[in-house]
Amino acid sequence: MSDPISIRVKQVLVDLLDIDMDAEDVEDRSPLYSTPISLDSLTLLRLIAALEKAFSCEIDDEAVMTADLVDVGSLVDLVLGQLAAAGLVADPSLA
Amino acid sequence: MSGPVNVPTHWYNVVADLAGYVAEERRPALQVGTHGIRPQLPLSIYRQSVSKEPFIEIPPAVRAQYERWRPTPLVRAHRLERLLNTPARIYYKCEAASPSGSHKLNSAVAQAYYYKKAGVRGLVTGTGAGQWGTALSMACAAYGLECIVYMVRCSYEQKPQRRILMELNGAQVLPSPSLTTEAGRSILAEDPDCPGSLSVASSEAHEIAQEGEGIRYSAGSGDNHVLLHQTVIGQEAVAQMQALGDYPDTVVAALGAGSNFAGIAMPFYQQSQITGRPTRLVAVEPRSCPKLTRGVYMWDHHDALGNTPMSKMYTLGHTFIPSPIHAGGLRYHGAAPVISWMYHEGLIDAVALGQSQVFEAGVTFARAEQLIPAPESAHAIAHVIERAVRARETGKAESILFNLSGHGLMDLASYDKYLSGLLESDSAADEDVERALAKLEPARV
Repeated sequence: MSDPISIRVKQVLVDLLDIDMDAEDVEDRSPLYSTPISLDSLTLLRLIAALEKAFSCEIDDEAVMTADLVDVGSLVDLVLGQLAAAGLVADPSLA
Repeated sequence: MSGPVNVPTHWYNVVADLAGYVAEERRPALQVGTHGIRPQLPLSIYRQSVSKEPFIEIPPAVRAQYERWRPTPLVRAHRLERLLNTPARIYYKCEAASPSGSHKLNSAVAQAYYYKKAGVRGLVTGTGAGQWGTALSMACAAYGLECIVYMVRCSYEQKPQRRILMELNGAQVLPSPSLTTEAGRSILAEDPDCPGSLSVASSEAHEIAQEGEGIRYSAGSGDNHVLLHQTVIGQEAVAQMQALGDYPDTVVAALGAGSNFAGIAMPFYQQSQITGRPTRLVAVEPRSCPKLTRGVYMWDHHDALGNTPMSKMYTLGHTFIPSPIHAGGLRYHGAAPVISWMYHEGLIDAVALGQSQVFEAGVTFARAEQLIPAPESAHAIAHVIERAVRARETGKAESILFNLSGHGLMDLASYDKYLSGLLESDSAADEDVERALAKLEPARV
């Protein structure tokens, strides 16, 4: 079962990309760059900006540039890591 | 000379003052490698490019870089006025004063700063005449970044000193189209003698950026954040004109994709919104690449291979290869989306001029003012001279400001051709444009 932050990330994703799925049904291993998500590099940045707004935190430039963003789980990990760095969650592994 | 003004503390974002403008992009078919798609822009630059805020603070470290050469001089061209016997008052903003010799360094240092902060190892780009490549190579050297430059082949051959200058700054410079990328190989397979274009060079640079570990693509014109960074030019010019007790009726700049035009023109657009005093903003493009004056307002790609997202812009088609004129920085098929929208809405004007008239104007200016303009900047000068002559005939004492976007010391071979009567005519270029427009005709509905 997914944790609340993971579900919120997926909710932002399905809302922004207008994907006809419930957030709970998006799997962590779903690839970011093929259907139904089909991100390109600019839309990825648009999504990350939307996540910043949703979580009221600023995501670090370097974290995005160096992250290996291949699937939804890696995107969730990026957000968790940034929230942990900002002290908004205690430990990403516990979120 | 310039009045007592300071380097701006913020960039001006014209999008905040354009009610009705919506920044939209359409995505191309995905081409994904084994690693997925890499973000090419740092988030901090992306935030700027989609911002609706009117002013965005210049980081102190970037402003400190600017203070090495800014504010650039704003000069009244008295000798040109006398030569033309015109009542017009002619001023130019001298971006040739930057260490790279053009306005391009204004965005190059800002981008290198943000990319360095984002942890990238190096930047790859496409350059036309080499002004952007020169500026980026200098900025990369300043921030300890690697730099790879795909330089449009005809410019690479016309201006070998540009390559040397970039290499001197530590950059790797390759003529485009090249055999180092799929994009280059496919274009050379169709036309082994292809002179290249900015959109082809961009395709090659994008390909390297997608595949190279720690290497990202950096754009020199057209994108919103690039136009934004250049607005230090116009903001200084507004203050300098006010300090001189004059104000321009007309602001003129050459147009490639739009960075030097936007840089000087947008802050005057902002002033017109505040004061209600109109200033005519005129973009001057080459007759061989007349995207605003003759192109189609449609969705199109920014690169030749169609791998980048599509934007709505005035374009001659992303596969259009302009004739190898000597203002390589203007050989780009489309105008920046913001500038295209403003032109479509009638907020700016545009004219297209032929190469001979442009070089004649460049020589006239050089002999009057003892400053050799880049052929790109000479496009602006040619239109300024047209207006100044008209002012002589009508007796109207117009105040005209233009952007001298760069010097022409790397373009002496082109001037030599002009002086020797060997400059190529515009007729071949006209045929190329007609063919491109015929291909776009179905989109003109």
